[in-house]
Amino acid sequence: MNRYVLLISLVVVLPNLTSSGQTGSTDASALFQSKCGICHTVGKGRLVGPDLAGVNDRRPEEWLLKFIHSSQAMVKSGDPDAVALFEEFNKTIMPDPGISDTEIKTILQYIAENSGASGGATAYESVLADAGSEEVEHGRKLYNGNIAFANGGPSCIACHNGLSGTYFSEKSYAKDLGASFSTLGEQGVKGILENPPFPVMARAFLNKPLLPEETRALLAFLQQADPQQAAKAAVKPGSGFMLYGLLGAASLILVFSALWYSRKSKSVNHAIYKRQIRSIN
Amino acid sequence: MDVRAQISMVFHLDKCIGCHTCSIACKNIWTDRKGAEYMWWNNVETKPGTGYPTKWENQEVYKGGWEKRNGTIALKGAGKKKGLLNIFHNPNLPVIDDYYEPFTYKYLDLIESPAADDQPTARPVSLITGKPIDIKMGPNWDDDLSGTPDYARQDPNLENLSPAEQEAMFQLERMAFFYLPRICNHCLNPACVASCPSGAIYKRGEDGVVLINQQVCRAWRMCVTACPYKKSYYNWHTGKSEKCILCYPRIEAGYAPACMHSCVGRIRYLGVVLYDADLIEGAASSDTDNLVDNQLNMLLDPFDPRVIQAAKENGVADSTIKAAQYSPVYKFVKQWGLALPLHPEFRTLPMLFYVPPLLPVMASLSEQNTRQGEKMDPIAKFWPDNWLYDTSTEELWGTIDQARFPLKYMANLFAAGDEAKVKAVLKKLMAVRIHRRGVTVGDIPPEKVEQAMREAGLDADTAEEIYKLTSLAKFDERFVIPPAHREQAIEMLEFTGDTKGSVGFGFKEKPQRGL
Repeated sequence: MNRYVLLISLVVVLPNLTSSGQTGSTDASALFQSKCGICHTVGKGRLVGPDLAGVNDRRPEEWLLKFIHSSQAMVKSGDPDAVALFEEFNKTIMPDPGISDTEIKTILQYIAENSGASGGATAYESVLADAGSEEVEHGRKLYNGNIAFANGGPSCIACHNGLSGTYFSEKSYAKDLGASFSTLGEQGVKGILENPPFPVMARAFLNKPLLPEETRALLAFLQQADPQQAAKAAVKPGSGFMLYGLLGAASLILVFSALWYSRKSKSVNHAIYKRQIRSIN
Repeated sequence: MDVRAQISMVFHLDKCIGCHTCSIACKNIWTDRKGAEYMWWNNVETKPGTGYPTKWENQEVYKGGWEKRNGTIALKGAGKKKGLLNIFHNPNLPVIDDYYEPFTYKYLDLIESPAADDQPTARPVSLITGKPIDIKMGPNWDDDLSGTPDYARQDPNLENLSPAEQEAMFQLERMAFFYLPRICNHCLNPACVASCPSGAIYKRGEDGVVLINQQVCRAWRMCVTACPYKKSYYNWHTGKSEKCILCYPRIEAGYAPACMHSCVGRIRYLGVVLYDADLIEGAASSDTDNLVDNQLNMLLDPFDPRVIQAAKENGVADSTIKAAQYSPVYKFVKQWGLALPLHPEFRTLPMLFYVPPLLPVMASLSEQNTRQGEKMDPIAKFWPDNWLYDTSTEELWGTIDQARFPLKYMANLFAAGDEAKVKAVLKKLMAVRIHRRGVTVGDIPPEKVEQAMREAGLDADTAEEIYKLTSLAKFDERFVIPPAHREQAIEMLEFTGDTKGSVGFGFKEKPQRGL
């Protein structure tokens, strides 16, 4: 189950937060950070998605424009480069950012300008080094909504599956987060929590950001939940359940047919009617 | 003594010719409506037979009526606990196939079909679905077919009859049957009233007619289960239950109910009886042997000053007491002891009484009829069996004992299995016939007549009275209907113009199913 597909079922076009009237390098930087920076870096190593340093040189601009507009459309159309990328990154879907060509060009310009600036990736430092079980428990409570987020953001369980070991995975509005840690890594999950890239989640947490300690607790909980979920996924429910279900149904049928043996189950004229010849089809 | 008045009925089965005029009269007036097509508030059954709905007498199937438990009685298939347990599915309810699926014919096809090679036909269509059906059953499908294994031999009243006796009833050319017209019995201990969870069914105070309030009925259908005579029907269209109303609008206007008014054989009698309501519980819960006696004991002598006094104190109108004194029912049931209730063992204390049929006057004698064979041509088909019908009354009561209907069968129907009761009634009927034959034909010696009357417990005057009320009675003697006292009945104060000009029952508020 290393496949992790971020399925964005509702692609809503967010009201463009960064006004299109603004220009300049600070705007380009902000635009990159808000639209790309959670998953991508420029010259600081790969996160959820690839390091974008020198991307302008690797791909033609036309290809990049198309890909950034809708990566999935390209994957589905069978573009070999796009498919290769998709496969390389665990089939993680890159959400469509919903920005205009000029904005994409601004971002590409920004990437081009900064590609040579930094020297190599800086290692990400885990914030969970000293996280204890209390932290995990706090995270679980935040996740399940037992404790509300300080800034009034909705608790995770409002949209995501419960992770506390239910036998069946219930249907949920958004992605099952069970294996999020092993797929995205701490850095990726942290990025999403701090600055949600997904339209619905971004809208939900607009002006209600998580506090750093809340993020930390959630990360701790998700990290701890990850192996449990993997183990749970390995168990195939079904065969035993089916058997017990059938046995139960059979015994109920037996009990009630014994209990209602003398019940009137059909018309008293049944025998007479049965012999009569039907002419209506 | 809690004296109340009850409009009661007597059906004289010897006079019923099985013409079904009563059923048609009732249907035309009351049940010719959507949802009521399958209902026959009045129906005529052939006995032996299974009746309508099929096997209605078999309470192991339908769980109707009362059963005696721990000295008291309880409903067999309904009531609080059973009703709650079966609240979503009442398993003892008759289904439409137990009655029959009502049908009509597409007569319009006969005149509106386009020209074609074949003669157009009127196909039968269901009155429930409107689609073409195969007619499988009707309300009197077993009419006159008392010899068929499907119907007659399934008669629940054949219980306790020996196989030989049963076989004798169905022998070819010896087979006999009689008719049993049935309407609601307007019981003194009605199971339908007791079973209704909504309290929609009530027994009218002034005349004991059992009615279902259509605006209170909530379609629980417990009355359909509870009535052992299956005389409460569910209207699937209005979502209400309905039953015989004893034509109370006619009775209030002084007319006989439609079924009685139209009766060709003049078998029906209607009149008021006074009864002691304090005795209801005791009579209904008495031992099976005493059921009939205790029920008849409840009926009071309308000439007894104490009874009259108590009746007046209870608000029974003078005119009603007077009607009770002239009641033909009181004469048949109490004075002459000729009428018995149908299936008293259901313990509902039915107020419709039957004079059992003496019909098989021709009893068979078990002797070989060889003389006739000698007279016939050797090649002629000849049965030397004992199928000789003897109409002579040489042995006065031998014919009753050897009747083609075993006494046990009659007793199962009318006396909870007590043959002596049926025999006593049949003896009286026979004595009246012997008496009248002595009078009109004169071929029976007076000693024989006297002996017959003595053994039956009748005198000449009583026999003459019985004969007159049986054979010569005029309309006003058969139906003694008490005046309705409209001034006292609140429900009669409603303006009749509201429904004048509309047909049938009518509803002021149209009943609808669901919300």
